[in-house]
Amino acid sequence: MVIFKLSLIFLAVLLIDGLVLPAFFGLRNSFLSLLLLIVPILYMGPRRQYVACGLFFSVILEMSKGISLGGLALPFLFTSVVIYLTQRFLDIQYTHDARFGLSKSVIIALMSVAFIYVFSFFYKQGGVNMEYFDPVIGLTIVLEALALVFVFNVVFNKKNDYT
Amino acid sequence: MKHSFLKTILILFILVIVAMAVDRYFFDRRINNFGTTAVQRPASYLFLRMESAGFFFRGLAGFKNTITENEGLKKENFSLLSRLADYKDLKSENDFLRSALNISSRFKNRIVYANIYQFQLGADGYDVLINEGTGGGISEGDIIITEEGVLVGLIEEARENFSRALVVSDTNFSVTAKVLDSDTAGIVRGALAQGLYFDLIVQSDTIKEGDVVVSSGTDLVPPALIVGTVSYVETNETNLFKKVKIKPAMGEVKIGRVLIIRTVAQ
Repeated sequence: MVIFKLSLIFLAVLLIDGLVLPAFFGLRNSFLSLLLLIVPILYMGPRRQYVACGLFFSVILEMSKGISLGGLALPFLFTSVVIYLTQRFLDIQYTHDARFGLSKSVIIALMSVAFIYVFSFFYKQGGVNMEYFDPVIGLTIVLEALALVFVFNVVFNKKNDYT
Repeated sequence: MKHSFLKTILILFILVIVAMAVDRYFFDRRINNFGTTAVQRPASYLFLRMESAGFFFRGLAGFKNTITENEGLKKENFSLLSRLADYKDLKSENDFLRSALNISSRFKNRIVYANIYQFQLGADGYDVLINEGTGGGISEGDIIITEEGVLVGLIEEARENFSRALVVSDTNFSVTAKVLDSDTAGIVRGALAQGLYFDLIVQSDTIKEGDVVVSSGTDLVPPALIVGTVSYVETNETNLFKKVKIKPAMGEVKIGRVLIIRTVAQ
């Protein structure tokens, strides 16, 4: 059920990020579709089914953006490993009880900024695009991640989906 | 459990690498093309419609200023009509001299009409897709402009049925440009959310906010294409150059339908 709901959110985000925001609202600096690869793992924890699901989403994203196969999938897998290791070694728990508080949502949003940069680092094969360290871009990522976390809070029912 | 996660990741890595190898050696990196091509037509249509609707509603939001704006535009219109008359006179004179001296036409490249159907910020710059590719005569390096003569970018990668564009705001984009009606010239480079930077403007150069910046034509981009408007000028006598920011004109116009100027003459 979680995967099905996640897929529906992904389709909506794909439409919003690629068409509605740039064409209708003129907003061309959105990271929603990339965030949808990272935020679920931060939100629900790095588990096999979510990583597999994220990998599937990244292949669909590659198709929609005209990127060669593996262009997003490999950076996504590397980022997933980094998230897993961060959780394991720093003992940060993103899951379950971390979902519904505003402060925890803000932490997830802030962490997603860091992991978007990690993703970008792997995408550029070790390079860094300095213009991404821009306050406007950082704030955009935080706000969009918060919006996604809010949607997840509304859509996912803890008792039904995770127990 | 902990090891099974890493095992799963390892298996997924192997799967992706095998798929990439198959794509590279058996499909010439075109497996993903089919998905992009499949959504091209409906996406182009939706992008155009949504952009028109967006401009309409944003226009409604500024409806209060319409009367004062209209008066200003009327004045500007007369000024532009006068300039147009001068321009036509010069053009006919130029054409006459070119034919008299047997000089070929300056601008003979073929133009291709296309649509932008995807525009979003990716992991390294903008991911912008255009619904024409090598099949439509497009090649890498071709220049993308709007009907108003605003520079949008250039073709970064041309595939059979679609192309990826490098837009002016992208960090990998740069073009030689100058201030309209002035000798001030430099290099414009993209800066994502910050718009554009106008580099190599020395402290003695004259430039102010509101100045229009156009391509100078000293590189592969044709001259007189509108790049943007100067939005910020920082003068600091201790530095050799001024810090100049430009608001891209591309953000002010519809970019759903574009013209592609072929750099290879037909």
